[in-house]
Amino acid sequence: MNDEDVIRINDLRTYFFVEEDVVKAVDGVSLRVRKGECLGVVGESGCGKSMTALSILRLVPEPPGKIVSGQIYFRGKDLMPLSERAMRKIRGKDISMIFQEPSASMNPAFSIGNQIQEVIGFHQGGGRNTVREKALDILRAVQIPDPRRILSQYPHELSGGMIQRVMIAMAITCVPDLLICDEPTTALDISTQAQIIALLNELREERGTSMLFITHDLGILSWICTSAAVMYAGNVIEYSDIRSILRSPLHPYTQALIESTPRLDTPSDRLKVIPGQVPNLAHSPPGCKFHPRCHLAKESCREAPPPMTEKEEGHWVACFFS
Amino acid sequence: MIGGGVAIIIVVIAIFAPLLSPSDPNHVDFGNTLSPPSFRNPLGTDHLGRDILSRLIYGAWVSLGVGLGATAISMFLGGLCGLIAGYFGKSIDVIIMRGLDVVWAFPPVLLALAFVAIEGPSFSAVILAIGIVGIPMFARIVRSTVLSVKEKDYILAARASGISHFKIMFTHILPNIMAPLVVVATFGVAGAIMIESILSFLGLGIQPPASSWGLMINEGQKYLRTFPYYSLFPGLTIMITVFAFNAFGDGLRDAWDPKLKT
Amino acid sequence: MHSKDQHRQLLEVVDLKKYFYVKKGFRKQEILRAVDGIHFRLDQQEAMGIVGESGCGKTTLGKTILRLYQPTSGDIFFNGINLSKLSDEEMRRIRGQMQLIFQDPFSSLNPRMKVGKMLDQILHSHGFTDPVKRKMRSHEIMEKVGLTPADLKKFPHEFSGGQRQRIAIARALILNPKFIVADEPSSSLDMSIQAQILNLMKSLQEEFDISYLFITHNLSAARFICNRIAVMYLGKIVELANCTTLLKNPGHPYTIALLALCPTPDPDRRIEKVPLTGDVPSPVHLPTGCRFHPRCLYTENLCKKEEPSLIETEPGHFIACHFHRAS
Repeated sequence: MNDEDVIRINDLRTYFFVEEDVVKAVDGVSLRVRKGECLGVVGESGCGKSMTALSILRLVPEPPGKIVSGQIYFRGKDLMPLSERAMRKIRGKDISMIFQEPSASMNPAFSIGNQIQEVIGFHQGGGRNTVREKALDILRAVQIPDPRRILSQYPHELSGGMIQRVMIAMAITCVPDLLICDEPTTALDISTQAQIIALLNELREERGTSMLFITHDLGILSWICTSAAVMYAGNVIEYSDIRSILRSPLHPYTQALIESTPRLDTPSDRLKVIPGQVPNLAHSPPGCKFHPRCHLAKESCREAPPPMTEKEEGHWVACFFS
Repeated sequence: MIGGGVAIIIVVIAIFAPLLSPSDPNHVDFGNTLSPPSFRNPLGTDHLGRDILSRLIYGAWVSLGVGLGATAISMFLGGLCGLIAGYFGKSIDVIIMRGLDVVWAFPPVLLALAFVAIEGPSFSAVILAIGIVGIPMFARIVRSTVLSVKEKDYILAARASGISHFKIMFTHILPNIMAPLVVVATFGVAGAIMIESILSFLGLGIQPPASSWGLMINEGQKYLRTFPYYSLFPGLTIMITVFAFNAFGDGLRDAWDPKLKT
Repeated sequence: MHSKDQHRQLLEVVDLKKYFYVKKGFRKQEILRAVDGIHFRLDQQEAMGIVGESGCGKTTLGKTILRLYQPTSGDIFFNGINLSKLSDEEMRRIRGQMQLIFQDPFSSLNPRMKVGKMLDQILHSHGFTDPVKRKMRSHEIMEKVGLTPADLKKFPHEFSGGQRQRIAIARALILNPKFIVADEPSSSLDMSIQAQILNLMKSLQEEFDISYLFITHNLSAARFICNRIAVMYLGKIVELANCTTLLKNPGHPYTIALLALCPTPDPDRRIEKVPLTGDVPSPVHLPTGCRFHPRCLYTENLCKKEEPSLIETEPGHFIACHFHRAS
């Protein structure tokens, strides 16, 4: 157990029990985020990346979901046995999260100031003036122009980019050790997206906040993350630093993902396509979940799921034939 | 769907009334007035010695007939108005809805009363009265549902594919508004039965010697203190029927949802 | 008769405007100038991209060209016919030749209608009276988009997002249109599915001689499908050029910014400084002069006063900027 790990997830399994099926959203995921780094978790919809994040904060909807097994070490301590009350103290303070839809994250009936001050008050306490000053400070830190005016405004008066900044402000106000970002820029325009990413980068560098950044976009991944874990059907299938993942991917799925993305710099006549479909998480294929779609598949792929092995230094892959 | 089952049972009872009823509902027996439930008269007899159970069963025919008939009128005419008003909007919408507002402004019972007063109380007059009175409500609900469905992409796609307005209204929009329509219709049946009861209670609906549940409550009110069964049973029956139809509506709506089909 | 004259002009949009009147408060009314004077030409078998951020009017443009919105003013010439002057019924009949693919595959299909019935209805509305012929055509088109005839009996919710988009493409193709407006057809899909849909669109274009108007905010996808790209901002085209020129030699500061900010999976490329300030403005309160000036890094006094017009700086390359940077 590395002292430098902010969070270490060990063989996490989060299943959903729907009627007779068991949907294995997270099926044995092990990850770690080191201090000061930004780990990207990338994959397509349904791969389990959001569920992993929600499992860390124990925000998985309890029926029908359930964290079935695994450990989540935060600063060396396992979060799993903690009570809901203890978790509440951690959420927003030690581990914070920002979500995809900025407009859905804020309560439209209350002013911005009201909502920020509520969070600050809950975690840090203090009189009204202290809390207000802290709110203004944090709004300035996320580069919001004219924070005083923002405090009295309501969510519908702000643009998506502004609300997202406010959400980031609320998330970092207590200087969390870990900031989880679940596709925070997907719903934003390109220019706003770039501003938010630049802001997050700055915050990480200045404050040393570690980040877990969930995305499906390889471009954004390369801009903000220092390392990446690629997920498929509930498992992590590749993990390394960002350069290795993008320049020399080892897993056939990662390679195919990169090749199927249209790029500005390399035009192609046809984009590479992964045949078949993402498996049903309740009835996944035996052995390696990717094998039905893989051009390298052999008999052994069906027998047992390949373990994550360190093929090169710091570069882990779950594939027998990479 | 239990509600559906009960509703269907009630309908069946109404249809087969002559076969099921233990005795002639109009058979008067002065020697046996207001007697409590017994083997011969399971629910007792009324003030004229007539078997309450039999009258109840025959009454089903009346009440259901009015309920379903009136609701059918409201649903078809109101639904059509709402569909056209909602789909075309602008001046057509204004004309139709303002017109219906005039009808809407009258309390339903009063309007039904006025109608019956002009036409004279009869089975068809009552159905027509209650039916017309219910049109604005259906039109309103259908119209607002149409307004929200109209904005969906697949409607725009149908327009883009060159489908005519008529076809869009009836093949694209209509199936997607059936769900709320059905639920409202079941409330409508319940409401219609209630209004019929009130009308009969006031003496402006079904005339004796025919039996309707409302009429029976009316007739029984004089004896509430001493012989509650007279009003109680029809009242209970109305309640059960209304509840059954509501539950049936819920069940139908769920059954119609294509997402639950597979 | 057919592909001899491959570069025949198919569509010409002349000074097209679409304004929306938004009620604000009791009597006041604001004008939302969604599309504010757009000109361009589109040839047969050509694909043109309309790229811009939210609020720039690109979706409204697509729908107005198809007369799903009534144009406030301007003309749309399709194969020589002026669409703005047609009656509703004439328009309905001509719709078979110009189709639309929507962004959201979940809302663009009627959830209560089987796929087969939907396609059948479209064919029937356009003169296919023989049910056998309709069935054959439906089968044919489903196979072309990579689905099976058995899928015709299913409801939309039984399909995945990518499959639904294929159905939407089948619907667009079934009347053999020459022109298709594709509004962000792949944006709401996963990356690997995006690739499938983009590939499909490209091969269909070649097979059926279709022209696309490809509306998107994703420059990379536009580059893959299109020959030319028009960049839109607040209702106007600010730059128009063929792909190679636009990427190598962009002239308008907004285009340059978009290119710089387009995410690419290249770990060596970092955003040093964001070349745009502020947020995307609302099309209701338009800035004076050049609409882009409040966010432009190179604004001068002239930009605040006078709106630049779209000028052809080199053959085929149009820029609307007083101080454009193209050589």
